[in-house]
Amino acid sequence: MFSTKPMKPTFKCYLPPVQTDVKKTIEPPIKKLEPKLIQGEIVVNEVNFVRKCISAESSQDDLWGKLICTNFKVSFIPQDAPSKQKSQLSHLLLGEHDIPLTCLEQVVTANDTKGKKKVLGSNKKLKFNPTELILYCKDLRIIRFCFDEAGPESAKKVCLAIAHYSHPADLQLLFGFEYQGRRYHASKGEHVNGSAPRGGLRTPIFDLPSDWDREIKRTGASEWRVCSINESYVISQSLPEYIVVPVSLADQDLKQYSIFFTDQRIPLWCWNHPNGSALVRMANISDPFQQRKIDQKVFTAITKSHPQRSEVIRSDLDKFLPNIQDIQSAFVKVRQICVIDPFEESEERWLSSIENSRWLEYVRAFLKHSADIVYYLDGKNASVILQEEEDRDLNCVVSSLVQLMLDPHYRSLIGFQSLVQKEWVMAGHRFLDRCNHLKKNEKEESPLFLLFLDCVWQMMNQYPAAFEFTEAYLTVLSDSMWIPLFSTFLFNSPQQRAQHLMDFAKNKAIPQGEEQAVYFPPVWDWSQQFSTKDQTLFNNPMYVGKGAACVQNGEVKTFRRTKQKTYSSTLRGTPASLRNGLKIGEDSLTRRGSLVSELKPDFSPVKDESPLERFFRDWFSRAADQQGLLIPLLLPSHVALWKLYFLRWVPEACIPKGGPITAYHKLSQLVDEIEILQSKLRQYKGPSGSTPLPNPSRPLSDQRRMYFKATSPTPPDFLTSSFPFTPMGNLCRRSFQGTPISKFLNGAKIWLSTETLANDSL
Amino acid sequence: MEKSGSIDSLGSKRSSSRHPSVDSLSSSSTSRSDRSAQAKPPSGMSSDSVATSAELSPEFRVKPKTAAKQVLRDSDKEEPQLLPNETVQDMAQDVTYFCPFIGALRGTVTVTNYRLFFKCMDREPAFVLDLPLGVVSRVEKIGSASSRGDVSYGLVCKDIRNLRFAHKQMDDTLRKSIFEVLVKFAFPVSNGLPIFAFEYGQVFPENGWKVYDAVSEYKRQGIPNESWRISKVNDHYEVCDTYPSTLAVPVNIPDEELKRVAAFRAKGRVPVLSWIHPESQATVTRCSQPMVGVNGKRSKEDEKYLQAIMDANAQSHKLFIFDARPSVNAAANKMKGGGFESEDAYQNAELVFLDIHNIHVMRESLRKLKDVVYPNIEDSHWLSNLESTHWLEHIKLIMAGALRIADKVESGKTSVVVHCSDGWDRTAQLTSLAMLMLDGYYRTIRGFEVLLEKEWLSFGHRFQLRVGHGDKNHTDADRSPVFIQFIDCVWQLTRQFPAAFEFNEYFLVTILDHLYSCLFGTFLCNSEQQRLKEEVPKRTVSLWAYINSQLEEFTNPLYVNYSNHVLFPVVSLRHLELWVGYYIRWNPRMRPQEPVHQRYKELLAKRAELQKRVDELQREVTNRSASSSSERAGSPTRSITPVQTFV
Repeated sequence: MFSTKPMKPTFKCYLPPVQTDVKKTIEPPIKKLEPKLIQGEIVVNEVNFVRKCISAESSQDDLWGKLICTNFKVSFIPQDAPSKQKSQLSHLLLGEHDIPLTCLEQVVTANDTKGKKKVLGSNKKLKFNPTELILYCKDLRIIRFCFDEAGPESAKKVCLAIAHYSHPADLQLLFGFEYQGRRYHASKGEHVNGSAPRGGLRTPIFDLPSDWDREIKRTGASEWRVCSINESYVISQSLPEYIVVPVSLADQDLKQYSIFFTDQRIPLWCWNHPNGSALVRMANISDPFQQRKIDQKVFTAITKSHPQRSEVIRSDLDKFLPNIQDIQSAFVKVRQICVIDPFEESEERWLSSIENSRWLEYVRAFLKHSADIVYYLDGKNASVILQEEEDRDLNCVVSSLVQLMLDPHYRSLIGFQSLVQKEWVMAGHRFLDRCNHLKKNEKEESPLFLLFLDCVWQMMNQYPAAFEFTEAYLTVLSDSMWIPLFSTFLFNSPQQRAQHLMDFAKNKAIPQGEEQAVYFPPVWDWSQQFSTKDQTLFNNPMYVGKGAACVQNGEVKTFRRTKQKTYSSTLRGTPASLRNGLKIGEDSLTRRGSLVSELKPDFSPVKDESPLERFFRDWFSRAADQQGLLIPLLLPSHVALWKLYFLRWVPEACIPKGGPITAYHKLSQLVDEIEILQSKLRQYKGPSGSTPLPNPSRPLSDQRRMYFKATSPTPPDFLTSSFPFTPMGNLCRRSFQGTPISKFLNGAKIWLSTETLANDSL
Repeated sequence: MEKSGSIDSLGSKRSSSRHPSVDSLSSSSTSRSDRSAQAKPPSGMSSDSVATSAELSPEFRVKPKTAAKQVLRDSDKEEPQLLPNETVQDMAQDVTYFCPFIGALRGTVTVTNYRLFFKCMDREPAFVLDLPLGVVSRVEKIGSASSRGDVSYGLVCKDIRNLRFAHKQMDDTLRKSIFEVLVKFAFPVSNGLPIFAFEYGQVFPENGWKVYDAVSEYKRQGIPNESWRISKVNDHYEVCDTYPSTLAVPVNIPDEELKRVAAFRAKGRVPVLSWIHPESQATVTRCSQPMVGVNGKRSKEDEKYLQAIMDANAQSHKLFIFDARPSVNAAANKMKGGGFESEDAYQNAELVFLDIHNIHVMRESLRKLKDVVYPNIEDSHWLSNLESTHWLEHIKLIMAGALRIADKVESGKTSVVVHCSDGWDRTAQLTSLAMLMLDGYYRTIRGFEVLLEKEWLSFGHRFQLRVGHGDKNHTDADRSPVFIQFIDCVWQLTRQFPAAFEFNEYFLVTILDHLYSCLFGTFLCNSEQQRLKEEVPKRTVSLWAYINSQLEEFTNPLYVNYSNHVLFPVVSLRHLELWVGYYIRWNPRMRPQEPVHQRYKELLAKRAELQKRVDELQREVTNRSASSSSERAGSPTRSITPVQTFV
């Protein structure tokens, strides 16, 4: 999807042309403090002489500049030109100090001298002149502005404007509608002739029957068909227009059954195992009297679609997994511990606080449940129905995790994006409500998608060579939820999306027949947000994927991969079964006397193994095939906090010149060297294949996928564990005194003598 | 039994896909966290024919040719492949091993003067438990003759596991149970037998005892210089019997004065140099507590001595004394004649307490940790259970102390004196960790060996007492996991700086495994003097001989050697983790999480392959263009310069 062709500057004239952005950053210093506006963006209010707090320790690093509220973002423009050292990801549409209004979680104003504080909502009044503005962001940043030198009235106005504009009254008022409309017209004529359809997207959107057809073929689901009874959303408001159903069910039957399901959500095919088992998701049957009958019909149809006519197993997720409120409250707690509580205070009981938040417990629960489903599909050869009240929340997480474990295709970048598209966007996950973009109903807010990304990260952490993308990609993807410019995370259902985009097209005079993916593109077109160079941070140098590691016209033995789709462990021969009857002595273990207490935890008796446990043990006893089935380790000790996501803004937690990125750096370099060599080989081979013919017209850089190049042997100094993000000025909880080093240390107050402080401050 | 392992085959072994049975994890004492390493097919042999999961014990890797030949023959045997001078002491059949992970297994037990070997042939591949007797902390008979007539034995091990066996009651009551035989050889010291290291006859290409030479290490640091000299005052261990014979001391303190300082320091452990900053000349010195006592005794010589240490560093007019103990403990030591430096007596010195607890607290903490991690981890309350052991909290305090020392020396350019009570436990932890942060040399494999030899072995960390080699007295209050704790801290550093260390996790695990195994002489005895007296370097093999004979095994491929790079770790529970690769490695559900290194090696192989092909093509082009140079203008070879490589 990352086009290697040079982008014509006219197509996106509001952007610096992608290829030349490196040169473009060397700009003359801005004389006036002008905001960088994108299409359709207008300044609402602004105030000068504002101080942005950079570090908690002192105000000496603070930046002075102008604070601006537009209809898209809160922008801060520092007086002094920023340093040109590129130490972080730079967004094409947002500056280093910008925050999209949709990203604001809470707008807090305070007056230090009066000791007043107020959380601002839409149309709220403010009875004091704020001396401080603290912005709590959905991406976990906390940004603080001080107005000690600013005009009090203008400061107040900006604060109120920010609060007001971050509470849009209506979905259509989200800035993306304005922006994409302008953008469409500005680029008109460009895409009419010759431009690739759907904006050159390689990620299937699943709004067309062909996308589903391909998926059916890819997974060999021959007993399943694309059904179009929901065209124009006549059956269900939350299902996509095209769904996949068992061949044995006729459209007429489906229409009949649909009325019995919550929101008419008839069962939805997700994926087929090579052994013929299918993964299906569905909503509850609303009429209890019809339950048995409908269940039976559905089960029978799914069984018929299985080559071995295997049984169908139903998993009722509502019974096993936390609900959306549980998840939201866990997230609120873990956020509190990670970014809001003072660092040293939360250090005291860090482990138990993390446990008490229950976030990791939930992550583990979803992974565990998904792994159990994998066992049924892969180990028991059975089709599985995931059932949930509405089929729009928990099912999204579990069905995508199951597919991620079973099918290596979804571990590629495009595959992963298509999975999100298929199991979240098209399946009707209520992104609008769960993200609470309109800040209307907090009860509906729940970070399910983030929970899913965290689960993916856990797998990535355990199998670092299995995914084509990196944790930086997952983090950036999560941040994109809070930028309202892409159609992916704005709507509750495909129907709502279609409706709004149709109205939008009408309003903006976009001709009918123009595809939605073109005039309101999904997030998957990453060139909207990042330069080609920055997008290389998404590439995992370790990935063992199709083609990724293969040497052309020859094989390197270490990269052996079986040709057939052996993502089934059952194909690898039956496991050695346990010997029975060897339990002698079990009852002679009766404990006695003093030894009992001493030895009790040590020599606990062994319990019998369930088939499920054996399936897992068996799988873990073999080397993991990165292109095969992957089961995450589920010991509590192996589920970790996703540090890049939760701690990237925390200055005290940032390891200078350290963190996993230093390993990534080294790996990237090596892969870059390999790519240079491969490119040389291609040049030798030439188009005809045999004549060695170097082709100087094609620069090597075109094929290079790595962010760090072979020519930078030592890691740059700016690498930290937060890279490609920086804590600098992004997390100002409250000011307190101390030296940076002292804050790392427990009991720093006792240790630091006055002398030390005096020395350190020199 | 697999006896493989040619050194040649090591390079490819990690990519071997065939694993031994899951259980094998619990079977190998030197097992590494990377399990694929266990199934190490010897060259020229299909991995499938490796019938058993094999321990990676060192001897199997060293003599490649002969070992490889024996593989097939031995794979069906029920006895272990013996080491040179290892002898079978007893064998018993129909013994049941209760594996906490897969259940009861019946097989044969062999006890030698080095190991316990259990093999169950009922499984495919055969289940093997191969345990050096050195790891056994105690043997308990549990469950006496019951209805079934079984006798059951529990082995509590020093490496965070417990093993349970049972066999039928002997018909012949006079015959000793095999476990009684085991007790004899598991505790040779208590039974008047030699520790196996003194019998082990393996020859390695390198003499590991030559790795560390105090004079050359001080020379590397630039000592002697105008401020520091090498003193031979302790040549015969007369000033301090727990110190090395070679000491680095301030130039202007003559040996006679040194002796008077020794009288004022516990056990005569005077402040001596551990490390000097190459630029600022700020130093790390170590010693034991001053003998201040309840009456606040002073020593002019000691005060002058510390002044001399401060004066040796022109950059700073201050000296920091880091007392590793909590201040309460330091004060309590006054009752026993010890104590800490008063700021009145030591002008320009500032005393800082680092709040690190004593060996008894650490022992208790690790005991609790074992309860939490072995054999199984409870599904709920994992983190709060872990928290209640305080293990990570202790790790944090030690690392925080070392970080303060490193920061003071590097950023403050100030010299520091480090001590605890005796200066051989917490002090060793602190100085060696600080040196690891400050000096990249110690982050290489050889440098780390030097660091251990210097700060731990030569300065008298009492390994014999802390580990209790071959001693049945498992309740000895002198036992404590101080060294494990240090290695854990090192592992934490490698986690935060994955590219800053030349060695890998397996290196650290191997060191800990041989801390107990008693196969090598390295960790025997309590001091340099004792080791010399026992002729340990003459009579035993050094662990470094084994490690240095196959460095590739222990090398971190991601290592970047950048000079003058001081590591400032984040000492926070947000980043400190439980070392699962060590503490939870017996659990078969624990799959190693670092195929990163493996992947890197694969990529290296690929680069080499591609480079070869590019070179070949280049030659071809050169030849061709040479033969037809008249036809072609502009030689294509111009643009084909070999890729620069950084290995």
